[in-house]
Amino acid sequence: MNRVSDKIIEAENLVYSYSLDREEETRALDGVNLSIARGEFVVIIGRNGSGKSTLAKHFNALFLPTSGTVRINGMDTQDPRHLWRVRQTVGMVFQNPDNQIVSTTVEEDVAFGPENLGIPPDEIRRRVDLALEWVGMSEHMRHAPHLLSGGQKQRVAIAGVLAMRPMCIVLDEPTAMLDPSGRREVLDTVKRLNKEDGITVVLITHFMNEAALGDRVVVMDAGKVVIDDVPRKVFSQVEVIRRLHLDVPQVTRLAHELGKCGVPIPRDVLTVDEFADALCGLGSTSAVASCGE
Amino acid sequence: MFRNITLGQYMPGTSFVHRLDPRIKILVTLVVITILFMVDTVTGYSLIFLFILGVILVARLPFRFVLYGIRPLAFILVLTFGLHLFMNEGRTLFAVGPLVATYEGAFRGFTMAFRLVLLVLGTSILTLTTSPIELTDGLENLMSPMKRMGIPAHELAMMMTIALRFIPTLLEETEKIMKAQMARGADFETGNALQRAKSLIPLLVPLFVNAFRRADELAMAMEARCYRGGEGRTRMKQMKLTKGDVLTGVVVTAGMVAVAVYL
Amino acid sequence: MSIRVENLSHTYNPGTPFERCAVDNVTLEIKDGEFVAIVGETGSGKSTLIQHFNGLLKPTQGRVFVDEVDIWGKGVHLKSIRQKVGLVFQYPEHQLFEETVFKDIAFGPRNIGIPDDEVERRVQQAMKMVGLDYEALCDRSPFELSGGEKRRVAMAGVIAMKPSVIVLDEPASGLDPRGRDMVLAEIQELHQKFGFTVVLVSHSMEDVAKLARRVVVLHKAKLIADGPVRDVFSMEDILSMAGLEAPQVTRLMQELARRNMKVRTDILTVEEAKREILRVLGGEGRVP
Repeated sequence: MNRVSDKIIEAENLVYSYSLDREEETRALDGVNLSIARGEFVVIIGRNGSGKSTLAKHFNALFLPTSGTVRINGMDTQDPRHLWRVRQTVGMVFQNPDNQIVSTTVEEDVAFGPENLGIPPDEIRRRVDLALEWVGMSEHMRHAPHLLSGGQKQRVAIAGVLAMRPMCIVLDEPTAMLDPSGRREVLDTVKRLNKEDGITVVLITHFMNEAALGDRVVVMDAGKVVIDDVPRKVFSQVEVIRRLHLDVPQVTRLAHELGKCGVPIPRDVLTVDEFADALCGLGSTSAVASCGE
Repeated sequence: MFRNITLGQYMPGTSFVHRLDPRIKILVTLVVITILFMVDTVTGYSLIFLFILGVILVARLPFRFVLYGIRPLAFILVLTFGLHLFMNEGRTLFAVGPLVATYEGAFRGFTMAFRLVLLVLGTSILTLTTSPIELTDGLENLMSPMKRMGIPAHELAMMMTIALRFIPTLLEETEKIMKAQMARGADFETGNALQRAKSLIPLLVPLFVNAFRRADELAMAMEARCYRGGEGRTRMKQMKLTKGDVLTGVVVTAGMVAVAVYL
Repeated sequence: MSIRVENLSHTYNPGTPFERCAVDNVTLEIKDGEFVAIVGETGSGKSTLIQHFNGLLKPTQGRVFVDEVDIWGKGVHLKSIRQKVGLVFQYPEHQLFEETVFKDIAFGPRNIGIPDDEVERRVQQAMKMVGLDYEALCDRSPFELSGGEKRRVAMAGVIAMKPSVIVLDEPASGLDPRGRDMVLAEIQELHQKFGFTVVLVSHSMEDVAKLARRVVVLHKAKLIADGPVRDVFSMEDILSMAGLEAPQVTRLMQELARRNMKVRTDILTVEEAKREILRVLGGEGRVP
């Protein structure tokens, strides 16, 4: 067990296939190798059908490999004895905030996980209060979930996972159905979880600005991991990313376009400030080749 | 349109009625309903009515809000009254063609309608002052002795919780789909019974498809949070019967039985 | 074809403890041929507002005119208003119900009494407009299509009614970048090639910057800005008040201006930003 102490998720030659009709077999995951260390913030991107959601569901033993292995904190997910430990170790937050809240009040919903684990009532109470405070939803404790905003619902879902004291939290497109401020609420919470509490975060998203937040970006396509690197290196490959039907942040694209015209801006800028710093650092005298457009 | 339904809604509060143990509230409500069907005198009804009125006051529920709950019943009330009015033998009040309204009919119709109103008021006090979660916990607890007889008390309570949780979501969705189809020229309001029934297809099919999708996702979310049935599960909130709870239950039950026996 | 709302207010559940004013005294005109975006946070009143455009909601106060006709006036058939102003709800694929794609798209035209041969023509046209292959898909079940295809079937269902205004509530939400680009490209085509007046409700300021000419900003049930996208997006305080964020390139130019670079701040797209930066660098450059 010591051997694995720094790896929380390890997928080895992971294949997952299913068949819609008996004849044809579809490989949703086709030999994925990925390991995620404790405390990392990993973002997974990829177009629809690239297998990222299927992969995420393996981390919580909701799906089991057709072949290959997934180990969570050293536990093989195929071993039924580990099932509940695995699910307690890796918590999941899903896309649709409405379809993951079970209870009719916020606090009861957050208590749902710990109740399933058979934790004593006083301890559940303590955990629920802490978790709600963590995500800033204490004042809504007794509210009905359907009266909350999308961002608030997702924060309740996160609290529900936190109350189970996981080591890792996997979020499957948690912001896809939210408005910009809801998105901000959720991302701030997730970032804080990672930085302050050291919880490992795996975030799946379609928004490239969110991907830039990670320590590491994993790009998936056709059931395989095609790029696995720091965000800077990933997004600087503008052409590759676009060929995979994905996007890069606007400033990265701008740097890329300007680069083509001979403006020496590093192609790996990700944020407004980085870009502004880089541009101001060029100095006024730098000659710029005219771009014949 | 669905936003106006108050039946089954909860109004948070801290009154004596709100704080009463849900099990006692459920039992007392059952007692009141039973007695309501046994009582047959004006005095009896009046006493129960006064009792319900008193509970509404103690629970500090706004009267107007409680009365909203009766509105959907208006049609049934009128029907009940009408049927009794014309279907009873007795002294003629007035006649419409072959239909003869009688004094006795009017009296019976009125008492029957009144009984219905009291029935709805009584149950809505229960739901208005008890949070859905307390209600289901209470029911689960009351039913748990029946587990040995093979009645899945936990599963039933979980189903009820989920149903209560999703009713507002599904109502919202119904409204949205209706509007979306109306935007495509659908008409839910006119036509004969057959046409109207047919016009519901564009509403019901998506509603079911979406409900199944939701159920699927919810099941997965519950599994991800280690749900594995009632076995080994604990609860955050423990119900504790106080002396006051028991006393209230006993007093109300005794009072109700007295009403039934002596009136 | 124009839509005009005058002093429109809408209150949900008036007289109950759940009373809530969702639209507060909004006056607005959308002229024929315009491409207008409506932006604001969830709960700012966008959805309530657009449901007044085709008479799905009745104003608590104020009036709604479609082609200068008061739609709640005497003798106005709401069905004909709903034919003229097509409304595509958010996640429209959730309202599909028929056995085949053809039947689902034909639902609207049939409801307004279009004869069968004309219905077929319209379904073909509508599918073409949203980039769906008629021959390949018309007999398939809508439920077995991909997410993006389902959404386009639902859009075709509204287009087949031949409205002159099409109102879309968050048409790209939940799609991946490519799906998003495709749906947005089709909407642009509906406007430019087929001449629809388009009202787009969106959370993405990038999309608004790319597509719309004019933007209406709602905040807490009130209209707080209405003007050309370029002007409104350069007013940082308006956007931040409404809980929104200008596109990243717009914010970049604003940041550069703050650092004393002589750049225009009303930049909306990457292409524009590129030209502007090249101009400044090639020209006089920075102010020391």
